[in-house]
Amino acid sequence: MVFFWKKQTEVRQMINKYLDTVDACMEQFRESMMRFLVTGCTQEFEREFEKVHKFESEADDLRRKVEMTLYGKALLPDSRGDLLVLLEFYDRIPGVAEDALFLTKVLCLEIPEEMLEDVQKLVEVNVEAYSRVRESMNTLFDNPNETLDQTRGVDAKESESDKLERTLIERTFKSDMDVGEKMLFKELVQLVGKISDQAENTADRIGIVAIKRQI
Amino acid sequence: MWQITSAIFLGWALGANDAANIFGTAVASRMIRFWTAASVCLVFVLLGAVLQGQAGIATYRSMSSISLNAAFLVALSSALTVTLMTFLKLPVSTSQAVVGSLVCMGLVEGTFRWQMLGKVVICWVGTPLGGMIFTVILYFLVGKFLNGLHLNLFQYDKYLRYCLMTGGAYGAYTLGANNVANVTGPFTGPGMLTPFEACLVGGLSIGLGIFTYSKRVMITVGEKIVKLDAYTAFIVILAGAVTVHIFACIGVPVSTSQAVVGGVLGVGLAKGVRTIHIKRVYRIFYAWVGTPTICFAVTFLLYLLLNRLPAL
Repeated sequence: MVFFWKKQTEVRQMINKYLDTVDACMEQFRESMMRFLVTGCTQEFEREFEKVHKFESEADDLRRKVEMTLYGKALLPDSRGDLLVLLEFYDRIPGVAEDALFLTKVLCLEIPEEMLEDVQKLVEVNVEAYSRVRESMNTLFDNPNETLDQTRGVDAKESESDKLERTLIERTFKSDMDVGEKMLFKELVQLVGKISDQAENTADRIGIVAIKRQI
Repeated sequence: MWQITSAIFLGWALGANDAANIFGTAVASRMIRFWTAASVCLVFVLLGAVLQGQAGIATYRSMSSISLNAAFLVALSSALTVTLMTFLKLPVSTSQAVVGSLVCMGLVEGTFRWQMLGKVVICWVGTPLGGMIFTVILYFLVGKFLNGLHLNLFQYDKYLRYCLMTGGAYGAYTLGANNVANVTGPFTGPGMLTPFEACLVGGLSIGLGIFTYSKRVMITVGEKIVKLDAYTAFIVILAGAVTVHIFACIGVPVSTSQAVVGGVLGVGLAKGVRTIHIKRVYRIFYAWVGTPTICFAVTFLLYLLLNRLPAL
């Protein structure tokens, strides 16, 4: 039996390491986007994109390791299944962030000055939505009573992001931008907004895992 | 002395089949290794048999005082019936097979006392009902306790593992206490074994079945129970063990499988969902009527056959 407790501790440590890596990835994403909004497509920005990519790959590797350990029967089938699904959902968040940053790098759009503040806000709100998911994960592992309250916070951020997205898209199409640029900018805004959508989906899963353990 | 071989055969069949009801979940989900489960099972089956197995033996003794050869036939025909019906995938219970056989030999030798049969049959019906009622009660009681502990995902997992382990150990204890009478109970009437010896030999032969043949059954049954989820699987095992323990105290050997089926039905009631099909309820009825009837017939046929052999 002690062997299994060791394996359980090992899984928990691995998950914590994975979550820390995703944290670093999302923080780097925020910093990179802010740099882009201030300085545009510079070499420094490209280097920062590489950092996000590195963190995302690292997180992927760690997730696979956790999954392999879980498949190695580290937990009861219920907990194992729940964690595997949860990690799959969680891992989509840094994936979307990396995609958004990649699109930013590829498009190298010149964002109208009057929209800069709203785009910054959109990035901040989406990264905050992720932070709330991370807090929800923490409560699931440490203080499950608070998990459902925490997940509601993700919902709030997702709604905020939706509003910002719509406002930005409306303003884009009323602006003097080229039609092609308008479409590309819309796509970028939607991709950044997808971070909070994914965060909301993950929060829903976290809520389900918590509810399943209330008898 | 050779007559005891049929009891060992019956104990082996019982151990091979019934240990799955107790440790199937833990072994199938690889929570514990088979050998660990089998060792815990053996220790607790023996403890249950030696400490509380004598009440069931007393019931069988008061049911019918049969000769040593008749006791041999009872154990042999019960073991054959259980093995044959398991092979044919028909519902079967060792306790019900032994009673069917005891009735047959008691009637043949003119020593059968009908009064005890009523008590035994009432307990058979009470087994799935008990499993169901205790499951509903324990589901909410244990659930309230676990909710009160505010466990996180990993702690919850750890607690459930402990619960499944201790529940399995308790289940093994009650299996030994309740079912040992089926194995060697008929041999105490003719005086071949003292009640203590009967419990010891019976417990050891059940252990032999657990060690040599229960792994595959555990995995098959366990995977079916795991579908419930770990918590409800634990509750079903615990409720089954409590039910079987009560009947061990009353002194009537019953079917652990039927207690588990009753428990699964109880899970449905507790959760407000359908967990069992009418087919499974029919299988219990079939086992109540079919097993003793078939075993009665097998015993009678063997009796006729062996009576023609000069050596017996």
